Amino acid sequence: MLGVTDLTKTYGDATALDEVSVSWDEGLHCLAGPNGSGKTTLLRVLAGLTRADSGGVTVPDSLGVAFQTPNVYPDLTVAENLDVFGALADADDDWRASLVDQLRLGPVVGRTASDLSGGFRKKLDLALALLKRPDALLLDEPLADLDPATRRRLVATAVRYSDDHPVVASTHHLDAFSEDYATLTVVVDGRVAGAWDRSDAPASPAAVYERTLAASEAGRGNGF
Amino acid sequence: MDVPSLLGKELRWGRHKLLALAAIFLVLPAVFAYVTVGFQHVLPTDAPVAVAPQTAAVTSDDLRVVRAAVTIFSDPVLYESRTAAMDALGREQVYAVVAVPPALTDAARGAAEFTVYIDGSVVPYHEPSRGVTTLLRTALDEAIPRDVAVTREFVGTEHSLSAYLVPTFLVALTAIVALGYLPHTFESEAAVLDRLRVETSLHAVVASKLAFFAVLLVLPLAAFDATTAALGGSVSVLGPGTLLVVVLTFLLLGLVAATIQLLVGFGAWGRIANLLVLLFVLGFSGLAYPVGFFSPARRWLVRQVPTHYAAITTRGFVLRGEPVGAYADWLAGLAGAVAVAALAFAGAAELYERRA
Repeated sequence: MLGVTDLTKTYGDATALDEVSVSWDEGLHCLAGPNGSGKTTLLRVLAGLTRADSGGVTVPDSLGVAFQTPNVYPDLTVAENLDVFGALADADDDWRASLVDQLRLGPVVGRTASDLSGGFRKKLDLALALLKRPDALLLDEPLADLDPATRRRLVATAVRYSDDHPVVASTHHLDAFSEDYATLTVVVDGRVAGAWDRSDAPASPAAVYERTLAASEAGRGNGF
Repeated sequence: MDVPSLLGKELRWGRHKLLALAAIFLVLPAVFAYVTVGFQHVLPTDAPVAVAPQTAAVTSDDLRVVRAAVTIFSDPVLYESRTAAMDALGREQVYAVVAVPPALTDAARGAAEFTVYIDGSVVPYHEPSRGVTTLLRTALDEAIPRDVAVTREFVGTEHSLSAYLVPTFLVALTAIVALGYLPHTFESEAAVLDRLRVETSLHAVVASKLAFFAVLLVLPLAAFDATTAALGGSVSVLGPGTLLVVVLTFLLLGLVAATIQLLVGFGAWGRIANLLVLLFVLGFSGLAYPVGFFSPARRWLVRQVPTHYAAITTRGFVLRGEPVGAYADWLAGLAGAVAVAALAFAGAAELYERRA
């Protein structure tokens, strides 16, 4: 179980999150919204990286986070990054090898992270997030600037992990998750503009998002 | 033409970086000039000099006469016993001890034989002490009715300037690593800071880095010892006292550097702020010239800086061969400063988390 209740976060006069309430169980959950709508702030609050002004946060014992800008040691090799965070996470060798295999990191394990392409850095970042087998996984714009093959690889890994863990992905690439997402939450101007459960009525998440956004802009509230 | 256009761009860029440019091109040179001017006082005119009795027969009147004579060229400090004065000499609280013979006003006695003790490790005072001895003789000739003989005597080994600079090098290196290189490594860590905060904590990150570099600082000590041993040198730095003071100094300055970066940022501002602190530490710790060479105001300031005591204790361990216990109070003070710096760091970390 992962979620927030009546969460508010301000930066000076700007309100990033305004009494947001949302919760997620096992499954892959998409979090969508225009740039600056508060998605990243919400994920950072869940990850404990940003403190909310008020409201409640429910998180499991361990969280894995894959960041919009990959958080990897640029001066260390892929293997060394896995060593460092594997030691912190007390990760077992089999799981680590499985992640390297799933994300196709094998050919670059000896390369310095700063020499990797953006796609490989994203994959390494996801591997680091998963090393400790977290109880829940947060993905902040995991597919930005990636080629289709790398996207598919990342989505497949996230989907596999979401079988028995909550996985929340903040993303503009909703179509990439259209076959696998469980819920879609749309955030606009720091508020939840709508929440869609795919099991109730399957639909393209991108279409649902556009409809919600249009309704929100028209001031008609929840478009679902 | 492209150049004028690009110069216009530089001006526009400069408008956005006014504070940083002012810090680099105005504040830094001013600090450098201020520190440099400090070293003009190489002939100490008011360095503290102890006046102490040679024997129990010396009266307070004898001491007062000598104190008045010493006032002409220095800042005299009266001591009840020669032992106390010599202790102060070993802690660089005074730079010479004038041992006063008894019955100075008894003209019937022969020559009054004064001894001026100079610490052999305080090399910058070797030359000035010649002048001090001459001035003392002249002043006492006029002040007392007896003939005056003044002997200059070194306490401990009379070291060379190169030996004197060894402790200076050690403390300066420690400061440069803590305030120069460590911030650079923190800066490179910024790329992965969010992940580190998720997986562990800022405290753990800083603690591991400080521990790593503290251990690494043993290497220059060992390298120095190995080199001097190979060359037949007499100064050894690898001892428990030196290790303790180097580690404490590094922890203190490293925590200061980390605190500054958490408060100011991991970018250019953090670098500049730490550079300013580094310049201050190098200029105001009495590393090259002992604190007594400076004006009273600057002397007071230097005595508030913990690294000043690190410099004296390092000289004590390396050049005077003092045991660790000789500076137990100052080492405890340094440990206290480390504790205060740790608290400041904890406060800065809390603030950083709140602002994140």
